[in-house]
Parts: sequence; structure tokens; C-alpha cells
Amino acid sequence: MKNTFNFQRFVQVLRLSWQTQPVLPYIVLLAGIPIMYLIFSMEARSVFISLRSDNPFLVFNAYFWICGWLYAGLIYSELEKIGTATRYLMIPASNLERWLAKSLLAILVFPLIAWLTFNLAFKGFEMLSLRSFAFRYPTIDWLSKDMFISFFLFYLALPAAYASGLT
Amino acid sequence: MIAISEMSFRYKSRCPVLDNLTFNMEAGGVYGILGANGVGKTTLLHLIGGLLFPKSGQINVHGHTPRYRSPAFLEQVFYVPVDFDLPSIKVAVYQKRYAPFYPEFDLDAWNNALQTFGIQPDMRLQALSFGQRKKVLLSFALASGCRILLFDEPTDGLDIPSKDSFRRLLSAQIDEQRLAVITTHHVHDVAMLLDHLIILQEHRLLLQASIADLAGNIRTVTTTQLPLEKSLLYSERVPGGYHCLLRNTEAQEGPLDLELLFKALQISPEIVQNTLRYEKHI
Repeated sequence: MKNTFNFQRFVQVLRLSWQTQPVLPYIVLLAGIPIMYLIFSMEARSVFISLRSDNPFLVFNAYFWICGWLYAGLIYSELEKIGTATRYLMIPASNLERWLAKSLLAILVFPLIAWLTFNLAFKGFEMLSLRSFAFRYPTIDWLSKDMFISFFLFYLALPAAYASGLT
Repeated sequence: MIAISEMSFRYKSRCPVLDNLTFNMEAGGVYGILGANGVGKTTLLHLIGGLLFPKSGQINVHGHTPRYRSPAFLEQVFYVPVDFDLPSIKVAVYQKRYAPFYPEFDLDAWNNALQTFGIQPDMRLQALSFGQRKKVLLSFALASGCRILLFDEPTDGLDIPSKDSFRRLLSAQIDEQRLAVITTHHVHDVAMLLDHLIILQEHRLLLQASIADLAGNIRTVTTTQLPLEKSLLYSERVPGGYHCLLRNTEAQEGPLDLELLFKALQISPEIVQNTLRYEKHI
């Protein structure tokens, strides 16, 4: 295979991959917000509130992994049907450009969107919970070692395997 | 422009789909590939388009080896499959999304083709019928500026006026730099377009000839009585008489029914082959 790389064409492939990316993970991302609120509000109402609760971190991980793995699992869904596969494979781009575009979306762009969505939802809950329950979770340390392990060892392993075609 | 040399292909099963094919296709022509179901017509298009790789032999398409699937090769080849899928977007959005990949995409040709087929750019692809979506894909193919256009059953799903529109649009696009390859079972739909014929039988090349050469050697007539002349190669009963394939011994001009020729070749290839003077092509 000739894996030539042309930056301008790569940007076109990336744009096309973004435009044709799976929608289901985004639906799950939004559907996860009410579930997240339910879990948080149950803890906020509980008499056993721990000031060092790891719940947001655990909820984030579950949310992040489910959506991220779903996204990674669907990123090559074009290849499932002959009609879509033919369209995708006949696009004038090298395999390297296609693979890099998909990998960038699965490993960087979607996780970033999931992280931002979680943070926005979490901030929203904090505002609500302060007013309703006079309750606030401790700030999540996004640069902690646990987060690092969670992201790199648990989250990235599966999408990377999917994106690289190992699974 | 397309050179196929001793090329064979088989899927996982042992039975070959295409066996030891050798032929060339030159720019400026419209090539029709005919053959019975399962003979390997679509497989041949997939091999030319780099979607499948030959098990042995060589394919060269406009200086490229399809199996490498280089962007420079894919920019020059547009494939319209029989089983296609278009995204759920508007027609104009489809063009904006995919046209940047084709450096020679002709916007005027795209608009002209859409107008000819009666497709509005603001229509949603998912709201269109199969035939209308096919027209969008054909319009894109014709406007893509690709040197090599591969069509698998292009008239499938098209209404009668649209078949005529397709013929006119394709004729206008084919120049000395371009080549179209059409596989079809509806040979009447594209017979007027074709200037070369390739017939596959039992996974091998049965016939390759230009339509001009064929018409110089064979002619078709419809008569009420079965001709007794020696020139009769093949005949079939039709309402009101017989449809006959004859040797064109006196170089008479007339239409050549490719469907009848195909049937004759399927039943008795040797009779027709012996008639053709240019045996080197067979």
C-alpha cells in the first residue's frame, strides 16, 4: 500500500470523517446527563455524605468509557455494508490519511467533547445542588495519577485497538 | 489506458471467478462488459477500481497499479456500484462534501446533469427514490472529472427518459482522455453508447471486439420466414417471425442486436467466432 500523506487532503478526510461520524455515541452522551444527575442527587440527599466522595470520578469514568468505547466501536461502521464501504474506500485518500483521521477523532476529539460535556453537566449540577441541597462535591483533580491511569490505560486501550484495526 | 495481463482472481473458495484474462481498453471509448450472472463482471470492476486484488497477473490503470490504491489513482477512477448507499443529507451538501476530493470536478457539468435528471439540489437524499438517488450518483460520476468511469448496471432503476438522458450525458463526457466501462444485463439501454464489447463466459474472455468490427461481420434482421441462406448463424422466434443473426457478407449497414449476439455466443460460441474475421481479438 502506498501510504502517502498530504496535509491538505488529510484535512479534507478529517472533515469528512467528522461529518460522517456515528451519531449514537453523542445521543448516549446526552442521555447520560440525566442519569448522572440522578446518581449525584441521590448522594446529595443521602445522610451519609462523604466530603471526599469519589463518586464524580467514578461516574465520569463510567460515562467516559461507555461513550468512548461505543464511539470507537462504531468509527469504522461504514465498512459493515458494501454500499457505504465502496463509497468510503473509493474516496481519493491514502490509507494512512484515513486511519489518522479516524484515530484522531476516536482518541482525541471525542474524548475531549465527552470531557467538556461532563464538566458542563457537573458544573450545572453543582450550581443546582448548592441552591437545593447546600451540597458541593470536592473539585475533581483532572491531573491526578488515577485520572491518568484511567484515561491512558483503561479508556485509550480499546479505542486505540479499534482504531488501529486490531479488534 | 487499462491493461489487464494474465489476470486471475478467486475468492476464498478454490473456484476461480476470473481466469487468465488479458485485454486492453483504450481512452476515448465506452466499453460494455456482458456476461451471465456470476461470471465475474462486478468482480472485474472491483479489481479495476482497486477494491479487490488479483491473485495473479497484472492490472495497470492509467499508469497506476490499482492494488496500491494511491490517492492519485483514486482521483482518476469513479465507480458507480449497483449496490450503493448515499448519506442522509441534501444533494447540494453531498456535492460540497465529496467534490473537493476530485481536483477536476466540474460544477457546471454537475448542475447540468442534475437539471437534466430533474433533481433539485435542495432535495434530501433519503427522501428520494432509488432511481432518483441513482441519478444523483450518476451526475456526480459524470461531473467528477475522473478519467475512468466504472458503471455497474447504470440504468438499473432509471425510468425511460432518464436512460436516454444518461446516454446523452455520458456521450458528452467521453472524450479522447476518458474511458467508460459499463457492465449490464440491460444491453438495449446502453447499446447505442458502446463502441467496444467484451463478453465473459465461464470466467474467461469469450469475445473482445469493437462494435464497428462486429457490425462489419455480423448483422441482425427480423423476417417472417426463417432464412435458408448459409449466412444464418442463429435465430429465435419472435411474435410475427424470426429474429436472425446473419453473416454480413455484403457489408450491409444495419443495426446489430447485441442481445441476440450475446445469446448466440452463449449457445454456440464457435459459430459466431468462426464468422468473425479478426480472430486475433478472440
